[in-house]
Amino acid sequence: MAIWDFAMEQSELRKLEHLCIQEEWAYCRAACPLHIDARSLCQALAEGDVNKARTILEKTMPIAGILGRICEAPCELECKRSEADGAVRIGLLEQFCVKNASRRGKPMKVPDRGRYAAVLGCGISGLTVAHDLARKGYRIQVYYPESDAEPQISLEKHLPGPVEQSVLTGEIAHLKKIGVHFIPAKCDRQLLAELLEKQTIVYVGIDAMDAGILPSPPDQRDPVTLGTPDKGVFIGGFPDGSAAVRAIDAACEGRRAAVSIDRLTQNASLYADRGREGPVPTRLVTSLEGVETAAPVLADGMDAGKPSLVQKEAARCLSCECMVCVRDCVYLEVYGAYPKSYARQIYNNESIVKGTRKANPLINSCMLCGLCTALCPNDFPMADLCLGARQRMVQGGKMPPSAHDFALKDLEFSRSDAFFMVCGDPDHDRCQWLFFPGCQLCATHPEQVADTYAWLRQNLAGGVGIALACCGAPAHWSGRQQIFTETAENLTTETEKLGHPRWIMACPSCQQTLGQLDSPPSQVSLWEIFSREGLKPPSPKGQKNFCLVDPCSASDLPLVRQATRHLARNDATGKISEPRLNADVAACCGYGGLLANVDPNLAKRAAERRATECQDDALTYCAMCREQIARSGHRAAHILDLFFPHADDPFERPAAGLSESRMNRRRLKNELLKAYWREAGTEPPDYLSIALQMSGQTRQLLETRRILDSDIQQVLAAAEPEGQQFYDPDSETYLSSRRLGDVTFWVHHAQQTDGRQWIYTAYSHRMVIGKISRKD
Amino acid sequence: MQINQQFNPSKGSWQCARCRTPLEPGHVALNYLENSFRVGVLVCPRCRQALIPEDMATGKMLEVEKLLEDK
Ligand code: SF4
Ligand code: SF4
Ligand code: SF4
Ligand SMILES: [Zn+2]
Repeated sequence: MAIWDFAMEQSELRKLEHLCIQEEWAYCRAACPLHIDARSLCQALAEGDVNKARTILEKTMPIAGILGRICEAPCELECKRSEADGAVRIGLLEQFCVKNASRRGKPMKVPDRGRYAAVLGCGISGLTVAHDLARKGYRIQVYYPESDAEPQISLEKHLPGPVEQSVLTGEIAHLKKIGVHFIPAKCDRQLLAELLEKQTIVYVGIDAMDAGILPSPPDQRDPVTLGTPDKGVFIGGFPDGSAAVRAIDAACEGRRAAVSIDRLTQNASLYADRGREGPVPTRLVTSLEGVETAAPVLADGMDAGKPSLVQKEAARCLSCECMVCVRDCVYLEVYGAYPKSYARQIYNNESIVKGTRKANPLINSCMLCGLCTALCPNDFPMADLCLGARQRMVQGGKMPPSAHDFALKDLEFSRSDAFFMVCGDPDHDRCQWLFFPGCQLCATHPEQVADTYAWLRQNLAGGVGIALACCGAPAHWSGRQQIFTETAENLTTETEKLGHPRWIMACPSCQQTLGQLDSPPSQVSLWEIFSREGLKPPSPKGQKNFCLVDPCSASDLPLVRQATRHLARNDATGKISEPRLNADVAACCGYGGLLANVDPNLAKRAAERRATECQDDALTYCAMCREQIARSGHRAAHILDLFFPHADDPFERPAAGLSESRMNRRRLKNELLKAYWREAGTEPPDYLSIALQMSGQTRQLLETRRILDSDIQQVLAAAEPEGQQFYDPDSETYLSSRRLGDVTFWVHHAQQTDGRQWIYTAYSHRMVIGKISRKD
Repeated sequence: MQINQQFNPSKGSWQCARCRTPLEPGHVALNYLENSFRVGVLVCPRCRQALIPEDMATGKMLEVEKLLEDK
């Protein structure tokens, strides 16, 4: 099937791009009639790099030597910092910049493209037209009154502020170098008529020329194009009302007219896409949270000459941007950009027909927690974006096979006879309740699950059944919609046989996942039941203060959060603190979205960040959060550890290993069957009886390689006589291997005198061993 | 594709557990996602068994697997 059947629509990309405002202009830039990038300018000046600052200014500012000295700085009125302790003095910074750094590099004269235009009037607006068009390869003639001996003399007369002669001379010289000619002439109606006669487009700068030379009254000009009723004549540089024209407005009009002249020359539309000229609104949202007070250090009238003060002032710039989501998500942070850029990368990834799909890890690493959406001013749906991309990758056969392999195999295990079971109450025909602990809680807290079931049966009327199963979240998170639907349907069919029980959910992720089904079961959290029945956990010895950690899956479950808060508060508890990102804006522990499968290191960083935000021992009600935080070295307990303690210090419980997690599930099922239904349960496969022993270091290595004891046992069970095996007489050890499904496992081992197998190491690969030949 | 490298176990004088013949340098074809590579490894010349050492599986092979999966 063609890949483009499973790609994001371009319109979809555009919609997403629009939501993320990170690339919107800073307030200063949007307010600047010329859109000077004051943010970068400040950055350069704060670094003490005046030359770089000048280069930045030069990019957008015409005749910068002049404008930089006299610009009225309307940007300062919109500067974000003005809402705190005073605007950044951008105008003074620009003055410093042009006074202390000269234009960089040789003036660039763009090759003659046979285009030309004339400017009447040697003022700011006219010189801006000349500058902008010269940069586009035009040859421009600027006419100034012959009564003025030199263009700079003419220019000086019409400036709104004082600028030294030497500067003016320098700017004129610069314009000459890039293709502008200055011609003294009798600037009257006749000159204008002659130019128009020759089909020359003319700009008349009223800031340096008497409006009397115009054939039509100036108020008839078009405000968008600055064109006049007289074809080929554009005008600008008006004083607004009675006041003198501001330098920056004159320049802005010159820029607008230059665009019109260029379009007219090229027969392009004069009106299309002109909404972004001059001061514009910005959609940027920058928070002032955490900004330390720092009043302006530069003031009007002060000679902006002292570099240390300038540097300090420039450093007051907040570098306005959004990045709200990126700051609080390790995943968004490590990929080095922000959602708008990620949406483009994902879109591009999907249009690759041949070549490396570089954005695969980006797509597969989102924890799907939704925190970014909750924080974003426009609710950017990063989780939906990544999940949708995963689903399309799966459908199009482009999902890397190894990415979610371990989690999907674990799901298979949970769906197998080794764990799956749906049973009614042993004493009732039909059940009003069904306890649904979730596969991960059973994997890490089997004793507490059994205790809880016993408690529920004792305290609730109407019969309590139990379901040991996976809700299908791993399938959903990995983009396997079909497996997810199958898993959920299978589960609901089995439970319907018990009547229509209300599901008692102990895992917020299961609750969230099953809540998304088309016809979700009726659910209530275990915590609401406990809370309603007035159950209080016994206080663990010496444990007074907790940090209550909400899992990200409870962000949409306010009742669950309320109940757990109620349960955590106890006569014996002291302070209950919370991490900064909690409740409906809880950060993920690193387990979500199967990140721990895709990028274990990043998952670890997410867990560590979650742990660092806990001032006290972490108390949570999600098995995955508990394991992730405990694994990162922070003391952590599941709330069930408090209700049903099976250790002296429940906060010290080590995280369960992968093999242990499976063993716990097998055992729990059989113990429950035996205790309540007098059934033997599922017979474990023979190979599980092969006894293994290994060092703690090897155990850890195998955890990171995601190699289970049962994988090793299956290799060993087949090693002799038919499997592939090697022997090293020096160490008297064996190296055995076997293909199990789509992975080949290798085990380095030796038989101990007690009959157990000592495991030195184990490793695996997905490549298939083919033809074997001798050296030729 | 030929990866011009010989991968041997870091230590030991390995022999085939089935026929007890000492292993000797040979070649193995490795296939993954419609791609094939020929790599130098130790093999049993009689039973045609190939020994894939740990460094190779967790290093080069893993790297190439990931690369192919993103193609
Ligand atoms: S703080 Fe800096 S970036 Fe933000 S508006 Fe002011 S000058 Fe511009
Ligand atoms: S991990 Fe959570 S916060 Fe980060 S991008 Fe994904 S959904 Fe958003
Ligand atoms: S919060 Fe994130 S996604 Fe939303 S606008 Fe800001 S940078 Fe973009
Ligand atoms: Zn052999």
